Amino acid sequence: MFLKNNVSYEKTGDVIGSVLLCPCQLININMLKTKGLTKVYGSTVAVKDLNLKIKQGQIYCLLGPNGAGKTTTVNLFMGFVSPDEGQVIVNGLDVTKHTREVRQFISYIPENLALYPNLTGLENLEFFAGLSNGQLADSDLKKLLSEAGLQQSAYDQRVSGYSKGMRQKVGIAIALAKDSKALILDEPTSGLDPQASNEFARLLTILSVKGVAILMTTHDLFRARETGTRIGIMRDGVLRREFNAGDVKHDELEQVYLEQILQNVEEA
Amino acid sequence: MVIRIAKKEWKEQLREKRFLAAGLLMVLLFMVALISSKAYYEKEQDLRLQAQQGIEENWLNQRDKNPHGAAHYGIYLFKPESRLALIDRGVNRYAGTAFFVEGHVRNEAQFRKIEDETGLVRFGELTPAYILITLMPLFIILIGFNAFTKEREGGTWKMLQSHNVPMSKLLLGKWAGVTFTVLMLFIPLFMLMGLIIYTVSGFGEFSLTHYLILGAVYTLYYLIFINLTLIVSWFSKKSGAAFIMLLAIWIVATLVVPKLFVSAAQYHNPLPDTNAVAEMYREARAGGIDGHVPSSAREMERQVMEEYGVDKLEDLPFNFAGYRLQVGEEYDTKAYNYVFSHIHSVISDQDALIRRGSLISPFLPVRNLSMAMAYTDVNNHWDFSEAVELYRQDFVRYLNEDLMYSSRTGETYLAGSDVWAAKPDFSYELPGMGEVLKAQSGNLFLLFGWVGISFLGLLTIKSKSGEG
Repeated sequence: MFLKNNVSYEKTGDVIGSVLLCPCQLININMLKTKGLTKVYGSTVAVKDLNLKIKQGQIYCLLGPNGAGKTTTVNLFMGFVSPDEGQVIVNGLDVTKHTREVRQFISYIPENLALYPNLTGLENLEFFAGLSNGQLADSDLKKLLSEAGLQQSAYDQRVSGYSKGMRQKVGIAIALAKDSKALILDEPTSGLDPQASNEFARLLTILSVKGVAILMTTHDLFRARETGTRIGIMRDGVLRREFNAGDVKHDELEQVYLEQILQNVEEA
Repeated sequence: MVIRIAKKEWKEQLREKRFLAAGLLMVLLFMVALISSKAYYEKEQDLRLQAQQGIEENWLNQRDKNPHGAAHYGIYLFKPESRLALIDRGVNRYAGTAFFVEGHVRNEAQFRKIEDETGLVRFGELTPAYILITLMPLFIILIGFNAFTKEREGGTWKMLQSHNVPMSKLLLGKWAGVTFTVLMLFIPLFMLMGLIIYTVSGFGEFSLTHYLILGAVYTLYYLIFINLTLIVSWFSKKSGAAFIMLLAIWIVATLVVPKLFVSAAQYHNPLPDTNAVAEMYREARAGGIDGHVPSSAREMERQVMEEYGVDKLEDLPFNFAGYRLQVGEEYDTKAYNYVFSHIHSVISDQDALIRRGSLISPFLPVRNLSMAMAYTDVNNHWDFSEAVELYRQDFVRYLNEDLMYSSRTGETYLAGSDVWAAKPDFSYELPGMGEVLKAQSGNLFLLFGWVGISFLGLLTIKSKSGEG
């Protein structure tokens, strides 16, 4: 048995939903990958020679101060912007050349998950899930929301009344519905209270156990270390350090991160 | 996917307070306009029936008199109206619908409603057509201005992109959603209007074909505004900017361009005022025989006596006074034909200039088509005016010829009720659909042109989005 984010899993056989949870069975391939990735906006180098590899079932937490290039990296993975140099590869496909194909098996949750405020959580899920998978039964949609941890009483409430945590859960449900192979999250826990943040981390762990490769940008060192399987620190568009989450202590991570921020301030 | 997006749009709009408030206001205004229009026409119909009966009775019961005196006594003719005039009163308020028919004078319509109205009418009369042509586009703008900007501002744009929603399907979905909402408001109101108009008793004819074509014209007009709204929303970065831009388009299209081009038309091709018309008539009439002035017809007397081989007018087989009055009448007719053909030509020139405004605003061709379907446009007014003039000529000729053939020159002759009863009947039928459509072919062409251009604009969005 192993324990992560208060979720206990049997190494062989614990079932959540219909997925057999067995991390050892995951194929060890790089689901998300960049090769010499560079993006320049005018005279500003947003991302420089970035080489990332994120395997199935891995949660990669990308840390860095504001302007480090985290969101640009996310936008490059999603094909919202094109690289100036290098490649973004998802599941073996070049994002620039196969944007539409790549988006079929990748889910995206921005910092402030955008949902339609006049629709309920269930209706938002129905809409977005329908865009990818066609019509899903009401019971299936409710099951997805339940798996994402949304309270049943909130299903039929308009999203305009949701907290950020509740919206993020709908976002997870949308990702679950899409049955994505990869999940990209741009600062998903910023602004969440500790309990909501904790629940969110738990959901990510569930997804990773299902084999989803996750890239999450964040400022939250604690959450990165607790949730992530691998951690990268970016500054000025460059990936400065990488760690296995299990190999680094919180103090050590904090020290390295502060050094990078300090350097950033000094350079500014 | 398109239906899914359209349904989402519609659901969102229905839950939007802005939509509900605007929709409710539209329904309320429309009902007020419809009910007041119905009441107005029912009252007018009563008055018209009473007036017609009274005029007929007065004509028949007038005392015995010289028939030419009866021509001066005159009668009134009322322009028949289609029931669709309840929707669009058109130029009737300005041009009038009652014509006074008398000897010597071709009168324009009288009792124009506009003369009894306050200056507030300048801001637009609250009729169903005003709601449907002027205010409905504002409603369309209100529900669609943020169709695309809200996705960008709310961040759902990226969510849609991440779900591989092609621009063509998003566009079609948005279009279908907004169109469905507009039609869900328009169709019930239009059907209700049809039902109410159909049940109005004793007033004009109800032509289903005209009614349906009118509905189609309005629908095409709304498509233009739906397309324009979506185009502006697509090219705007912020919802506020889109709304202001669309509001400016609405003001220019429905308020500024019509007024501007009407003013320009009046400036470049001014209609002659009353004095100028009188002067034109005097000039055209100069040298002609005046039926009431024997001295103006001395040469004609001589020619007629020579033709009939008599030495005195009293020996003619007819009353020369009647003959002279009729010849004088024909001079009057020629002079009026000249004056009115000039006025008609000025109005045609004005129309041609105003039509140029249709290149800037789809409001103008739609307004013209709406009036044409309701038989309240200038063409119909002229058509009826010409029919009245032809009748006037028959009417006066009948009375002059009665004087001419019922007496001899120098005799005192008084016609009686039998003569009054046998006057020519006036009959006028509203032009058929083919005739109306032919007259409106220019406006139809412009309307379809606008529809086509607005759809081309939507295709521009598709190509700008990179989908080609």
